[in-house]
Amino acid sequence: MTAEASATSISRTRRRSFRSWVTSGGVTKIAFALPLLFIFGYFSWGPIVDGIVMSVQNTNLVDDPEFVGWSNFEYVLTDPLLPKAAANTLYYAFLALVFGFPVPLLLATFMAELRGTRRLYSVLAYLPVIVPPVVAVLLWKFFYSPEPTGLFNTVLGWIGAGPFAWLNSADIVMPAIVLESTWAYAGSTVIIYLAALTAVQRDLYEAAELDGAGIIRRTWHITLPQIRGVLLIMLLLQVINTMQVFTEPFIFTGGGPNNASTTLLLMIYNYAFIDGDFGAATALSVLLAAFLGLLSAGYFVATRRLN
Amino acid sequence: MRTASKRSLATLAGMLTLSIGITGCSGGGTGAPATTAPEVDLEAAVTITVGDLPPTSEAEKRAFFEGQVEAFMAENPNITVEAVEDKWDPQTFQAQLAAGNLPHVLTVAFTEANALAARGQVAELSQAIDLAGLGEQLNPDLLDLVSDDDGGIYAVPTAAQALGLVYNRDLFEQAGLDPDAPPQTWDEVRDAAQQITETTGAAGYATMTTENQGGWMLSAGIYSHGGTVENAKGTEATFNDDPAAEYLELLQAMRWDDNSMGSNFLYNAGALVQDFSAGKIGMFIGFSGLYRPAVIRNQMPADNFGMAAMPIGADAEPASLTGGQIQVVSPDATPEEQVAAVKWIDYFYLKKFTDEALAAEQAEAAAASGQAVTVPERPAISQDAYDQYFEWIQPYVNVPLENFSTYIDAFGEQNLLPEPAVKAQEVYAELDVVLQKILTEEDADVVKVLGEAETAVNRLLGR
Repeated sequence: MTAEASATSISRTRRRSFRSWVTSGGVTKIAFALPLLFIFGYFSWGPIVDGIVMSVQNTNLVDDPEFVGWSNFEYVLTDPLLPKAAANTLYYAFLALVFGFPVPLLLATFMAELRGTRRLYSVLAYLPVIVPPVVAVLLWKFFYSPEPTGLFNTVLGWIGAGPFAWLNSADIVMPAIVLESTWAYAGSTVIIYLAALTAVQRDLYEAAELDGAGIIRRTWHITLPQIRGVLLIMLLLQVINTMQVFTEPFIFTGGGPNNASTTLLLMIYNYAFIDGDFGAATALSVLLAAFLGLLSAGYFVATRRLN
Repeated sequence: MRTASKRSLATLAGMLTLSIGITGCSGGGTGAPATTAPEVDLEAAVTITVGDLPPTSEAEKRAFFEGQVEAFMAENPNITVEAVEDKWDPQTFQAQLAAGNLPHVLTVAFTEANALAARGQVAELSQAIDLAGLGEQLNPDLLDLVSDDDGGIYAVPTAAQALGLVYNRDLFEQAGLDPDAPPQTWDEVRDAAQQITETTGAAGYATMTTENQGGWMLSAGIYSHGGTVENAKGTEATFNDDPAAEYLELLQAMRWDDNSMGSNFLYNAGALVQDFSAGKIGMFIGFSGLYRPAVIRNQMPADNFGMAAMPIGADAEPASLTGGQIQVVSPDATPEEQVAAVKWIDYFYLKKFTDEALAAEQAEAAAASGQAVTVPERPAISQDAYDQYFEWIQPYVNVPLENFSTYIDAFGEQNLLPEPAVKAQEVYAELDVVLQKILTEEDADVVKVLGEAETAVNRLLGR
């Protein structure tokens, strides 16, 4: 074949492949993807890029922003409240990990063992998720009334405990918030675990039962290893989400008492909406995002072997 | 877990996008007063949006507001007013500002005036005030608080008040105290609080401590002991001294020695007034306008609401912190819209003080719609005009004014002191923490707590 003939053949092939790409729905695919790309780019990636840009600017949202270099970062990093807010956030994440992470897993494992009433329990576990977060917090604020006649204090009074100051105590405020969060959000995690558990082969359990394994050994040797992938992802998502806790401390206490429940996101909020300082707010947001990004990357490397 | 916080972040992120998009193309914000006043066509047809329309859940108030809008438009045929429910809220304000869809007129607290003006986020109104013929009516002391050194006026003050001691007259009677002779000094407040707690079990005295309202109340307490919060220029914190320490030590004694401050130390105004209306709190520092949420919304019997002058510290002169409401105009408003906005502000909020027929008409409509007519405040106009106004509306008054008599009588005798000049809300946010520490940590060291707050406030003021 001459070079000329070869070139003609290639161009024909290209033309044919382009035509077949079009006839096999290529244009439609692009048409379907475009709106999604636009919406995702404009509403998800756009704000991220804008947030990064704003972190090196000083703006009043009316006039043209002014470039200020690293000064927003300097201001944020030298804020005496930052170490406390970071510690509070880590403390919240830690408490949520210790108490909030196992609860849905235990509930799901228990519910998976049930036969006829599983649906009922799923509904019961999921109900708190349906309550809007603000409503739930206001409800719990009422439960946490520090007066001896408050709901929790009354109930605990029956066994001779309390009365506790709850949200008014710098020592109890964080555990109190974690308790509410666990109640509020465990339901959706339970549903995910339940779905994962249905994928575990039943014959493994039957074999283990024949070998005389009880529920604890079955859970430890079959359930947990089988849903390991889901567990690891949920763990990472929980850490990322709890590091961004905002609604609960904002509505429960506004960060009090004595900043004992001031979290990083609450600081960001205060920079933006109390101080009107969007530069500082976005600077701290960028720092938090960078930290969470590194944490996630490190987590994936560390757990790759397990997967 | 935790989708809500993601949502909040998404909102913030969304706002950031908008802000960048809009700031890029606006650029024409009003900063200092214009050097050459633009030509204004006072007859041009103009449409303005005004905020603070009561929501549909408050049907009667809403109908009153809408009726006033109709009456205003009938009087000013070239102006069309669209009322919207938007209220001052720092979150939505910034987002709406960035998106360029703020209402032209919005009610804001006095404390916000300086920060909004300094950030160029509200319109400068001196020309519009002149053209609307409003200048002479306004109380010059109040106008000073919303003006800058160059003579720029950034808001129209429409309601002012001095803080004082709000008390539950029923609890006073139950405790064997005379509700017509409320405490005048802080020592008397302490004794009365103790007596109320001992005899009724209610908290004798309580204070707001969150959402910057704690800092506001702490500032009032400091003023009443002869202290200040910032220096006049707003460059330095001045509260790390004896007056502030005295007030905090008094609170410490009431909280930890007398146990007369109840058990909740995370109160915002709403929650505090709720517990006060329910008879759980004897006294707190507040302003007369709280009569409305207490009596109209929470159904506290009107006769139980008492208001006295700000208590006086041991070696101090009578002094009270003043504040109130101002009306701001969107920085995007054209000169014509600014004039229309000021005319509306005048009509709806101020004209009743100079127009007998309008005063009676508004008072009658307000009384008919179940609103309070009317709670005594520090006049936003001259004292004579204010007294005259009360005579005009006499037939419609449904507030037991005699329960405010000691509060009103004190106006002439008190030093009325403005709120901190610079970054008042930010400073208040820092002072919230001071109050919370004193009230929730038994062994809190007053001097150390004040020192820490001073450092934090100086850092803010230096930014």
